[in-house]
Amino acid sequence: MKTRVSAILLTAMFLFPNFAYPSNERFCQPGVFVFFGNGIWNDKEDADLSRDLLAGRLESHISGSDLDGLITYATAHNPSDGILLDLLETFAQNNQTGWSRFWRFLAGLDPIPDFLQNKLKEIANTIDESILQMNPAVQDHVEKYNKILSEGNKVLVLAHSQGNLFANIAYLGIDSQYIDGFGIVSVGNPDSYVAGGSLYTTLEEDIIIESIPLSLSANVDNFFGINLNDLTGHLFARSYMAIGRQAETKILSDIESKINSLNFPDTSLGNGIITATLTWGSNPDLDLHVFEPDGSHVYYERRYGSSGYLDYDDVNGYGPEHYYVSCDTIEPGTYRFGVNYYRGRSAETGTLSIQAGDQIRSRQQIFTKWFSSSGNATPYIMFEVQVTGSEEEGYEFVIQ
Amino acid sequence: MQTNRMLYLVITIVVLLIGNNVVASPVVIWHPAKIELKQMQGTRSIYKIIVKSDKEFYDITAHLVQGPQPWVSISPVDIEVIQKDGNIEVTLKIDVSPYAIVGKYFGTIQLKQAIDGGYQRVIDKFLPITLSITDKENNELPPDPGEAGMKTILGIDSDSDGVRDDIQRYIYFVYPDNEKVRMALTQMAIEYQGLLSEASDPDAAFNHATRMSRHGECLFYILGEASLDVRSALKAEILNTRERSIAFINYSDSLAGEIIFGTPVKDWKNSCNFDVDAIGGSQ
Repeated sequence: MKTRVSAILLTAMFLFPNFAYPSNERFCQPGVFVFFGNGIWNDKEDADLSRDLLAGRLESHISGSDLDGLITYATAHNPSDGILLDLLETFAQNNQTGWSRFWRFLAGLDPIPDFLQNKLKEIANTIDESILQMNPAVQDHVEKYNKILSEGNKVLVLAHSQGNLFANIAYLGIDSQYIDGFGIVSVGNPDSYVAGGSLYTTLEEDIIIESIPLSLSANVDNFFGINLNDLTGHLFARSYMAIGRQAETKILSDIESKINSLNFPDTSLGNGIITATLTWGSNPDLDLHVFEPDGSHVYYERRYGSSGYLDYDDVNGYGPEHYYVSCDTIEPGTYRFGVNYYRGRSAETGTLSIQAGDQIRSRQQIFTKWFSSSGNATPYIMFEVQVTGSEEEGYEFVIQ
Repeated sequence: MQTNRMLYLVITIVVLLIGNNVVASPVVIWHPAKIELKQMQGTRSIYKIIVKSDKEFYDITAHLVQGPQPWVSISPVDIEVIQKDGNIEVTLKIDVSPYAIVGKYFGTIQLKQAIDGGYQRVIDKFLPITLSITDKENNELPPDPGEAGMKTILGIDSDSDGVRDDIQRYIYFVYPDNEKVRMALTQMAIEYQGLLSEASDPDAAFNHATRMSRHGECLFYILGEASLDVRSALKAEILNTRERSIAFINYSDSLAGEIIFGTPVKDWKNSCNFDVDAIGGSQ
């Protein structure tokens, strides 16, 4: 016999694969995107926890200011690059088999034992930018940051731990025309600098960063001794954002001042509840094609559809080509996004980034042959976006 | 010589069978043939059953063995005689205390006959009884799967509600007084089952991650910052084997490069896929 609670929830989850929010309209105007960039022994759940904590605290901090209601929070998820598995092995090698404890240690729920602390220090001293710069996650993030910037938004990355290494590398990939809209605020930084700025917080109590010879020196004494809630002094929530402490105040102030110092990028690309951005390499022309729910085919020869608009078409290489659906013209149904390799000299890699409401995805595809206009009717479909809902109740999106 | 041995063997088997009441065991028939009761904490009820026999029995006592014993009493306990082809009505009084532990309890009702030497023997056959104790919301917990529940990544979900049995029990016992929290954690636990089973599929992982973000916001709306430790503790409880831990790491790493948006803080209430206001409990 099923429990009532989980039966209802299970049914709801199948019926509603994603959630509908009228607040998706926030994506139709330029705003500020604050990303939490996690370190490499933080999993996706840890990163989300930190993002939510940051959102709650920062919203209180900026309440009543010009930034109030302008910020969208997100997690820019950095992979563990094998580090979590290494830690798990270390845990096992120390004759530990209560696997729940492993996760409790990392979350700071239980005091972390010396053997794990030592392993964290060892890892922190071996991971640097040279190791992470080839990680595909960095390029994925760069594509998305550039897309968001190109649509007139400011982007700030609140980087914690090795998230700083990822952010510093990403900074180099930001399109130069948008760089004034991109910033980093650093927390617990193992690197020796903060790309594009100098705002950072490192605790005197952070024994992980302290163990890295070239890291920026500690600049906040947050506890005047040991923090019993986090023996490493390194956890974002338990040490850096310990409520009412100096570090929390500094971090929130740094974020606010950094956002205010950024410029909204000057761009002609439109905002929308659905946007698509196609970029590629030096070959002259890849074309973005969109098939709207009513069958309208939007591309360079027919740039206005029933609900969207191809507002930027590029024929000289690199892109972008850009399409958007504004909040008041969106239609329920399926939007299909394809690419036709129109003209070129060699194989070309196209990157298509789609944002639909509160979801953003990027994919790459290698095109080996160009088809000119003969490929217009049959572009290579890279994404489908299913839209359900209504203007009153809000829309929900599934990107496939 | 050979014939004598065979005869001895046959006699031995017959004696053993009689001794174990297999051949000559008298039979009583219960109506109904089994009992499945469901009872809410803090409530009482009465249930009547009939026992019939094709033979006369004297000096019978009725017993409830194991399982539901603390909450079920039998009346009458002492039965002077059961007539051949006669019916005896037996009453079960079920009295579940408000503090009884939610779950399913298995036992049997047996009739025992006094025999020489002060011993009793069980009269075939006994009556199976199952008592399901539910909480005030009429929820019911599956049994603790124990070690068997740790053999696979998805564990045991005996009631097919989408949540591992051990996690269902964990949520119930750790947060007995807050249904909102239980609801929010249950939606997370269901999501964990999905993400652990599709850990290496990036598209599936993205969808799970997006939904998990909403579940986290929902819990944050209910508990505030205290939700952070509650979430971490649930995760630790779920990832209680090496295989589950590795599957979760694979899931997390398959999200490399992805961006997961949060919803505006003012809308976190809407991140719950249940009606928060319709449920009691703190917030």
